[in-house]
Amino acid sequence: MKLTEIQIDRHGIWRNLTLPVRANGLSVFYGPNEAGKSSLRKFIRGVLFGFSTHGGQPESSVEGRFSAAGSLQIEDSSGIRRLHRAAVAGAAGDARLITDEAAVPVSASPHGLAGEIDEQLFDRIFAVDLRELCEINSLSGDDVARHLFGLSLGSRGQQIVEAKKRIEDHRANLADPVQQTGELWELLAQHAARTKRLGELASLRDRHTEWSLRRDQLEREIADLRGRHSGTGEQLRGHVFLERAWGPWNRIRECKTELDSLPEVVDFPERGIERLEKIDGEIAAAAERRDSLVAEARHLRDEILHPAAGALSRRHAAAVQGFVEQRGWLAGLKRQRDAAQLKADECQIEFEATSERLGADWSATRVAATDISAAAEMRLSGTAESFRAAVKRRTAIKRNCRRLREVYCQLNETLAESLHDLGSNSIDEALALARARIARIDKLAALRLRESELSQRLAGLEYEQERITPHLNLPRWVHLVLGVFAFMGVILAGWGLVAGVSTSGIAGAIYAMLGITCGGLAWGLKIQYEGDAGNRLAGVEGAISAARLETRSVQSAIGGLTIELTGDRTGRAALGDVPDLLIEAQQKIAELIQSGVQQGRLRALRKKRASLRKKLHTAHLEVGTARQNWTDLLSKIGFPQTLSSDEALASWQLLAEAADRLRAWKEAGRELQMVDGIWVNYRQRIVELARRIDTDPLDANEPLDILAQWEELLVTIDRRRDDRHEQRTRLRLKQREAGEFRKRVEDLKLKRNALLMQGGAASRDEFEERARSFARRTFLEDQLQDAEHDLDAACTSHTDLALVEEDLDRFDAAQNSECIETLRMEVADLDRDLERAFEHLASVKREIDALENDSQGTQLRFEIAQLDDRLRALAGEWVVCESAAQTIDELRRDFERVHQPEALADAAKMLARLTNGKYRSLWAPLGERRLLVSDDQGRSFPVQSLSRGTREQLLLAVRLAVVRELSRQGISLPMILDDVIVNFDEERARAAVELLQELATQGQQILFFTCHKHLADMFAAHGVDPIHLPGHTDPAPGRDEQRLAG
Amino acid sequence: MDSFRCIHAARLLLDHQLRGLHSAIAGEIAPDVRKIIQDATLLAFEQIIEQALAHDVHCVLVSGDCFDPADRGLRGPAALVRGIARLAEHDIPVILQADRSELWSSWPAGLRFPPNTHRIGPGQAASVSIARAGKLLATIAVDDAAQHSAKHLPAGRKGWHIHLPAFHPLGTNAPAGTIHLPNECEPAQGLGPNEIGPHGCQLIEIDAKGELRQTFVPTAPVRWERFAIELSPQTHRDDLLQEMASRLEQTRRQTCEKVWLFAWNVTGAGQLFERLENRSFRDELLADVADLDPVPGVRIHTHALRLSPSMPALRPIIEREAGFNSQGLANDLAAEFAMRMDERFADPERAINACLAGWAQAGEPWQDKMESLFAELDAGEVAHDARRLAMHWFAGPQLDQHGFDVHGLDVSGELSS
Repeated sequence: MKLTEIQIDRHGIWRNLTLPVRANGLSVFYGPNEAGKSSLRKFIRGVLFGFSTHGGQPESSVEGRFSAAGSLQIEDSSGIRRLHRAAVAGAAGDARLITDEAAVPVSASPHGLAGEIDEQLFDRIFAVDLRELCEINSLSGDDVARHLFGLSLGSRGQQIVEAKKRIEDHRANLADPVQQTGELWELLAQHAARTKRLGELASLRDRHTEWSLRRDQLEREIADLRGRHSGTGEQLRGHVFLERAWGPWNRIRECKTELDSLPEVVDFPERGIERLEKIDGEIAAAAERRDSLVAEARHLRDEILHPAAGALSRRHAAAVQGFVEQRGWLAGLKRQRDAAQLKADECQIEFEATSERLGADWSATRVAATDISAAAEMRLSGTAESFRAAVKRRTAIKRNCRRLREVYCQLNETLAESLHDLGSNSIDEALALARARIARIDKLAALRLRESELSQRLAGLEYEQERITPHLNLPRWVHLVLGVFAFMGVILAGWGLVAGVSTSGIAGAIYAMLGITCGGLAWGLKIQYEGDAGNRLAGVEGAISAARLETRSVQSAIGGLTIELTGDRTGRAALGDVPDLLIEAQQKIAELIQSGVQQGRLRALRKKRASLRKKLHTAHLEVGTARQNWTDLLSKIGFPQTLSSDEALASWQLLAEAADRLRAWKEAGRELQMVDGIWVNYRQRIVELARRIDTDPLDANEPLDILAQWEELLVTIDRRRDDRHEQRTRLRLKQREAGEFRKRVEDLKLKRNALLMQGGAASRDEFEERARSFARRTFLEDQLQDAEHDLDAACTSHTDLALVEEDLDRFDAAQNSECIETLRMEVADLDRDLERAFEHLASVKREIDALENDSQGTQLRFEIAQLDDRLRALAGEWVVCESAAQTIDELRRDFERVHQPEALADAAKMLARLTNGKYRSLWAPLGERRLLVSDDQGRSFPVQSLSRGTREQLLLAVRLAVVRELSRQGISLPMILDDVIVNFDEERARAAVELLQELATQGQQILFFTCHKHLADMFAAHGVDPIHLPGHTDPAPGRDEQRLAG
Repeated sequence: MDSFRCIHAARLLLDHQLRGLHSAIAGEIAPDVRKIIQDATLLAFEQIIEQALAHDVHCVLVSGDCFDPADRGLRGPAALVRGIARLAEHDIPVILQADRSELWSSWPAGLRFPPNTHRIGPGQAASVSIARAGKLLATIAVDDAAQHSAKHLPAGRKGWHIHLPAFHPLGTNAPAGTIHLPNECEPAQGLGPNEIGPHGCQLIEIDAKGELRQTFVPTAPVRWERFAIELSPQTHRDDLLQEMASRLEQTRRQTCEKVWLFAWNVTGAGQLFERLENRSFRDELLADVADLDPVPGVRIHTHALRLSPSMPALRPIIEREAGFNSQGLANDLAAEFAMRMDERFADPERAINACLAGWAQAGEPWQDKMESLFAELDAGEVAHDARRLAMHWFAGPQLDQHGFDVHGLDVSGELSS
């Protein structure tokens, strides 16, 4: 399809514009800015595809806003036609194809004219301005991409794309160096973190070295301290040795000096002074003892010769001894007598207490006289039991009577209240009345039901009556026809009469017959149509009357029954619902039946009360008999007759207890009497003997005291006899000892004299002087020996030390002690230092051990080893993926090289021409909707990276290639370019002009709009004279201005 | 003197950590197992000390690195000093001979060797005399390879030179009273998956006749093992389980061993083989193997399971019989891909460098680390993995009859194992 003329009736600034267009070749339209070039382009697009609101209607247009109209003269294989379209108020407008024969409407889709091209594709490819040319995205649409990117890749291309995607996905999962994600990346990060941590642990070695140096230093310090300790110890040892040796040495020197000054005593009795002192002491002691013994012997002899007076006579001693020997038995007899007396008193008290509880009149005689045998007790308990049983039975009967009376009274009162509600009627009568009421209620319910049925029937009949009644009214036209028939009948009958009378009888008869026939026909038709309805209506009315009559009868019966049931003669009292009445009546019947049951029960209670009364009378008689027997028995025993059975049994127990106490009292009295007789006999005999002995006045009533005194007297007599025997023995001993001591004194005096002679002394003083000299010498010699021994011991314990006489001479004990003290303090200080050093060394060694056993590094290296293994595997996997990706890219590139769409190949050629061979290759990556261009050096660039001019040249080439591709497919539309090469440099602009001209030569119609003079001149230079668009002014409303181009 | 006894241990590498333990198929290591693995070298050294005391040896020879200076740890050197100190209590000298002269320069400054320690080698003493009760038993020195290699040691190998003055004349094996021992015995603890089998030290005994007898003394608490199992298409899971347990049961355990680290190389084909490529199935199977407790007293941990099909994979078709299209490309894209990968890895270094260049483009901070990792890669394995993965990439996920993703879940595991 090619345009041959543009006829604009109204569009934008154009009014009544007619532009001739070259059917073949390139048409260049030149005009200044705002000359209406864009509007013209949009007009062509609007006529072809419909005007749109944004399709170029200037909003400033006052008249005919959104209105456009005009036509395009087109030429195609069908010949020359004109396509006209007029749009009103923003609508796309209807297009009509005007031929020489007729004007036919064109469907909304202009496929018939533009082939498969829709308005979007037309806008993107065929009609573009500079702005639209640069819209790369406009090439991404399916309609354009189909030609450029080859949407159908084929199975091989699809396989390559999918494989590439899988490989890249896999590789991205492993590692994406750009995004810095993926498993490999994470592992590398972990590896780096652990390696860093391991590097940090290298400081442990430094710490270990530090601690080791510290340990070595400490060990050196300890060695130093040990050396100092040893030296100080040696020094201390020397001082201690000197101190230890100086003492003995000094003692030796002093002893020797003193020994030289003492007199020579060669021999002296050993322990002479001591022995002399001892002998003198023994002499004095022996003499003193001798004198003492002599005096004691003298005293003893006097005591033996003059014994003490007051001894018991030997005549009564045997009798006294006999009583004294029976003293224990007599004391037991006395205790037995006292116990018997106490028991008798206690039994008496107990009996008296028991008899007092029995009563004041119960003496011991009376108790003893009372029969308290087991038979009597059995009799008493049996009688009491009989009496109690009789009373208990009577009490039970009384209780039953009382309970029965209460039940009877309560039931009687309830029944009386029920009967009171019934009035004077008996229960049976009330029951008959209630049942009759139920019968009436049932009848009333039946009547009400009948009344309801009748009312419904009446309503149905009335509805039927209403329904039938309209059928009696025939339509108006029927009445009109019947009236006409009747009127014609009358007229004809009258005419017949007149005719019969005036002209001919036969004719008159005929007319009369005709009239009668018409009237009869009318009447018959009326009867025919209205007869059945009337009969049905009459029947319905009869039924209504009968129903109303019956209704009234039923209502009167209901009224009568209502009066009977309510008792209100006026009939005004309201009667409730029948079911409620029925329920109420049935409840009343149930209550009456219940009352009847209660009445029967009351009769039975009455009979039972009479029977119990008889039993109570019998029980009274039995109680009287039992009480008589009981009182008789009580009086026989001696108890008051007023005692109850329990009291009587308790008194019987007391009586039995009193009898037992009485018996015990009597037994105790007999025992007391016997013991008391024996005791009195002995007492008299002892008193008599005491009177005869005539000793100290004694209490005659206490024979045991007498016996005690006698016992002491007997002991005194025995002791005195033994004392005399002993005194004689001692006297003899004293006399013998006194003789021995006298002899000993003499021997000791001889021994003393011999000792003095042995000591070379004549007197004691001389002996003592010689003894002191000898002892001192001996002492000094011992001291000397000890000192020599101590000195030898000191030297032996310090064999490595030598004694120097001069040192000993110069020795100062105080100074030496001070040195020792100082050295000992130094040693103690050194010990403490050593201890501290060892403690410190131990802690340092612990630190070293901790560092040496620290397993953090092991742990980290283990983890790093694991990570290395995993990294190695993943790195291999990544290399596989990367290699595969590179290989698949090679495959893709090869595929792309041989599988580019033809349009893209054309575009590449055109681009090469437009860029004068700078860019030779243009292709789309497989499966992608983007273009890449390669320059003459083989470098590839995306479209976005090209300069603006080159990008416009590329996009123009692409559009021209697509247009050519469509043309090859049989789709031919004019191409409208609106100043699209304005940014080209002169050389490339010239190449573009040549290319456009070549395409036009090949049959493509191109309309090129420009506002640039140099471009217009360039086209003119290539043989294409531009069409100058006329200048214009805003047309005045209502006045069209015709402007002609050219 | 009845005999001369010594223990020879090598490459103690105390406190050095085991490598190759972790792989994608390996599950979490139990804490107690992990502890043993971490201390494996230390435990092995303790065992060496125990054996030295038990056999009342006259000296202990230690060849190779006692510790790894790169570890920069204290624990290993400290353990060495502690062990030597224990031997010092029994007057047993320890002779250390390091491969690297710079090893001792990395020795922690704070650690002091006990007096029974003798370091020989360059910059150290040339020889050590072993005496007991005042009697010289032996003189030990590093063997001079240049002098003795032709006679006693393989060319280029170093060893120990033990001169025994009390054994002159000696047996035919040790003329002139001198014993030459290579110092490259097995390490006391295997440190990687390739060091399979029991590891320990050598007890060297030279009897009165001068006859040399060497006895292997196991010391390693962790043992690496690798077994190959072939699957037939009819093999059932229980059969495989029993086969694996049987292999474990047939392996003789040393008393010092506490953990076994296993790698399984499974070859074959069939449904079970394909299911083994599924991670959950595989984990369950390995867990069942461990639960069987086939070796009482030893913890079993599988660190690798490699699957190798016994027949070529149906896809991708590497062979060229798929044909070429008009543009000269193979009709089968997977085949084309595999072919190009083969071409790419014909020069493995270039291929890996190309990958590294891709990594370097991002200017990431771990370039050096990645370079070192890439340097360790086996290009053949990478190409092999890429060919296998092509089946996944060009075929998409495939589910077996049990609903497992046959290929998808195996990608990482297969590569890593």
